[in-house]
Parts: sequence; C-alpha cells; structure tokens
Amino acid sequence: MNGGSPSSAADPDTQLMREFTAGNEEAFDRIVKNFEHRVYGTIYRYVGSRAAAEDCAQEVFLRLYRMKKTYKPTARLSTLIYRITTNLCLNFIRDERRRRMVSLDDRKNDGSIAIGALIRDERAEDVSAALEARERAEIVRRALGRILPRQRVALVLHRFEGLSYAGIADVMETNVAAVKSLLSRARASLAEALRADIEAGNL
Amino acid sequence: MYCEERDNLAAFLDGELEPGEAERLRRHIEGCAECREYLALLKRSYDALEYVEPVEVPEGLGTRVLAGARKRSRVPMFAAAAGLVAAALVFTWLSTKPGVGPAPVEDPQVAWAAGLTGEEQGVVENMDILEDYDILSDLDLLAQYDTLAGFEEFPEIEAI
Repeated sequence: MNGGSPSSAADPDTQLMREFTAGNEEAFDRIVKNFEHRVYGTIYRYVGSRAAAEDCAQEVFLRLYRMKKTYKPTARLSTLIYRITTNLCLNFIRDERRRRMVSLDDRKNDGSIAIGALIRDERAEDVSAALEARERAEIVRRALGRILPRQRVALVLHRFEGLSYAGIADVMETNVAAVKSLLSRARASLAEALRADIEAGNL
Repeated sequence: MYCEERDNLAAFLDGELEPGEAERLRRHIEGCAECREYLALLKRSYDALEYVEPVEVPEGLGTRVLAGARKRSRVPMFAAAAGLVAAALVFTWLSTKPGVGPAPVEDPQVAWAAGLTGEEQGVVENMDILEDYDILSDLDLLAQYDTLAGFEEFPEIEAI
C-alpha cells in the first residue's frame, strides 16, 4: 500500500486536499472538477442507474468535504476517493438487496428486451448484424450485474478506471494476492455470463 | 474439474504476473488446449465490456455536488450552534429560578422536601419503580384504596 509515501506528498490532487483543509474552499471546487467524472463513472458502472449514481456521487463528495478537519494525507487523494466511492457502492448494493428493489440483473422485469432469449431463437448472423450498440450494452451490463459485489468493484476499478492490482489493493484495503483472486473470479463470472452470446457471435 | 492454471490466466492477460511466472504460464498455455480456449473466452468477454456505453456526467453535477456538500455540512454546525444557544438559555433560566442549582439551604422547596417523612421521601425516590406497576394503569381501582379501612381486607388485591 502507498501509506504516507512520497507519491502522495507529490501528488497534485493530494496537495489540493491539503489546501482545502488549510481553509482554501476553492481547492475543493477543483477536487470536485478533477474527480466528478471518475466518481460518477465508477458508481454508474457499478450500480447501473443514473439517479443512484448522482445520489452516491453527492454523498462521496459530502463525506470528503466533512473530512476537512480530520483529513490525513496517508494515501493519494485518488485512492481515498475511490475508497469512499467503492464503500458507498457496496453499501448501496447491500441496502438495495435488503429493500428488494430492481437490480441490474433483473431488468427484464421492467419491460426491456431479454436479448439473450431472443437471439438464441434466430440465426446468429442475422441478429448479430441487427443488434444495436444499446442492446449489446444491455447484455454486457446485465452480465456485470451478476458478478458478486466485491469482485465487481475490483473489475470496475481495473477495466474502467485503469487501476493496477496494487492500486485496487490500496483502494479496497487488501493485498495484491486478494485482488488477483477477486479479479480472476470476476473474469470467470463475466466469461460464463457472456459465453453464449460470444459463441453465438453477438459480441 | 478444469486445469488448475485457469485461475492465473486473468492475471496473465493483465500483465500482472512476475516475468518468470508469466513465461512459465506462457509455455503451459502452448501445450494446454483447455487453457488456450479459456484464455480466448476471457479475452473476448473482457473486450466486450467496451460495449458498455460511455458514461456522460450529468450537466451541472459538479455545481450540485458543491452546493450539496456545503449546505449539508453546515447543518451539523448550525445544529451545534443552536444547541449551544439553547443550553445557554436553559442555564440562564435555571440560575435565575429559585430552588434549582446552588440554592441556599433555606430555600422553600428544599425545606418542603426536608419536611417529608421518611416514608414519603421513599415513595418519591421510587416513583420510577411505581410507574412500572400495572396497578397504576387502573386509576379507578387506585382511587378505591383511599376508602379502604385495611389494605389486607381488600379482596381485589389478591387478583391483581
């Protein structure tokens, strides 16, 4: 883990957070500007809902803002922000399950098309040509939604945020071997979920 | 059962294996059809994630985030300030109210309390215990106690 390494000391975003804790409110504006895309994107990839992504993003920055008096630069700011983000994502999924609300892998109930069922009934070549990007996205998002929460967090951070195994370990407060295992299982789940569509030539 | 090297294939694809380990696995894959097939599936399924549409941050998110953070962060401070004001008011009221706080011994309320018999003081001190008694929920019955000549002669007591 990075800890209070020189990399965090030299990191410009971490420096911005230092300025904010010293009383420079404008530094927080810049932090939000630098991170809003990454935070919103991570949450959206994870929960699959724009409304939930906005609410969670608000909460991430609120929590960061409230660290004004307590913040200690023990890690890069990006690591801290991803950590808050992923913890909120995991809480969101846990609470959502508790509320038994519509989840990512349950979208067929809301009237959208069950793509996987449709394409198996048709000649793959024809359907493949007809599939819109939106429909492919739906297949993939549904597959993502089937991956277990912590595995999915690791996968989103790796695939969409470009974090290394060591970076993910820092965010998730675990070690590289555990990340390797999480990602291996996440990739296996993804492969199995998409196998039929890949073999049918839909992806 | 599947080839035990399967669990290493994702890290191999991600370039996250030590060079020696990666080379050993590369040689294994060359001779293992099952791993070659699985590696191809892993790669294609991972590549398929590109079909997830790009994320567009909603217009004005940053502005709303900043406004929300500053507004909601002020709430506890406001509440704390309100709490302090309320505490100050209560303290002022108490310190001017006779009989509460560091009052002189000759205060009438203290004198009243001192005038209670030992039994009465015991009742007052144990009011919280009395409140737990179901008997207090039946005030009509309680009122009849005043008319009793002797407590042990009241027949309903046994039934309570």
